[in-house]
Amino acid sequence: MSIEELINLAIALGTGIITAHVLTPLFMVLMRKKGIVREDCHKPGKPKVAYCGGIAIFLAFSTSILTVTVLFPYWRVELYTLWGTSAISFLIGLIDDLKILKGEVKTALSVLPVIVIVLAAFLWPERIILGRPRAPFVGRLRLTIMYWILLPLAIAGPANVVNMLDIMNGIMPLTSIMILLSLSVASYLVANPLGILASFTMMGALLGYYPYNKYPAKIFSGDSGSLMVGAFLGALAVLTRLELVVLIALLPHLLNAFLILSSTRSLKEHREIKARPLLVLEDGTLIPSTDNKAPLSLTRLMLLIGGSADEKEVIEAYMLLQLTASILAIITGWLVAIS
Amino acid sequence: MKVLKIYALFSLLLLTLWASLMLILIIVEKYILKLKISSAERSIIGMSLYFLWLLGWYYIFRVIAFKLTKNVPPYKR
Repeated sequence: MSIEELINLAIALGTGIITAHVLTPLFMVLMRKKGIVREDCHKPGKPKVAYCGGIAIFLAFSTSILTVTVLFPYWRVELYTLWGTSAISFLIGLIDDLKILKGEVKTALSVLPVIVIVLAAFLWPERIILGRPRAPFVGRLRLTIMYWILLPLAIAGPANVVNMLDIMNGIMPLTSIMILLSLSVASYLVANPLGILASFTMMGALLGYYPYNKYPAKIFSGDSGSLMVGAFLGALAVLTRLELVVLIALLPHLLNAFLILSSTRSLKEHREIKARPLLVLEDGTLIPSTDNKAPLSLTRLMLLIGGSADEKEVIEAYMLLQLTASILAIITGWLVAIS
Repeated sequence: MKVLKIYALFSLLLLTLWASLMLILIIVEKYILKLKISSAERSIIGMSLYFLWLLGWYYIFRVIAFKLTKNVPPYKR
């Protein structure tokens, strides 16, 4: 990359950071005024926190994408495709935030954004090339029919697993930033500029938003934020053909989703499940539920193994786990590059 | 909470998952898909192996989860 390109990249990142940092407090006030708040159920007294922070993330991300398309016009088609995919997921999440959807309906709707990618591949076949993901040791995977069968899951999967792990203050933005960082490094290793550019647009928005969502959170992302960020990760994986790198980076999220789905054996919304996986004591200590009907989440598993903890310790454990997954994702990217 | 214990245990789990995925990829792509049988047969064997890998991990997690939830220690403050 030339010095000029690096400066342009820094401008794109800065645009996202500044926009999110300015917009988030405005939305915090607005949501509070409108009464759009949710209980922070992992804290004593369950304080009310502003909701729908995803709107600020989406606007900052959109500004950043617009800046990048001006600075790097060659990647316009790919960047608009990413934006379109994320925008539909954002809208689905926003509807869910304002008018709670059933778990099955939300999951089914989260498949829709893949249409944008398929349409873009149909309209610009020379730019959006789908299929044959890159893998370590073997080069490109020989997936043909199976790829098209699995494609709808490439967006719905990440969107829903990121949403399912948006459980405590700051976990969603921070784990996503780490995933995007590992994807940027992997993209650099395999010489794919799109991966770096697009990662930086979302990274900027999340970096600007994070100070308001970190412990103790002043605003929650809502499904509008988590579904959008997850869908973006999935779409970027498909467009850069680094599906395996993103899959590895998302391992903690997948593990959590897998545990919940295998214990509940349904796609129920968390509000529909009465038994909670964690209990909060008066002093804010989190303990694992002893109720066998309660879903088994990754947090509950952590508490069962490591003992009771406060929210901060659980967040720390998640960050360390995401660090391992991100390092493995970078190693996978490096192996892809040398294969 | 013993954060380091959790970190070590789950990191080991992630590493095992990753290594097993790499292994299954190599087996399927480098050996199964090069067998001198019909394309459909190669695809069926390959997909079955991926499915078995997934099923194997499903049962490993279920066993871990079952053992832990059935032996919840009484909480001590």
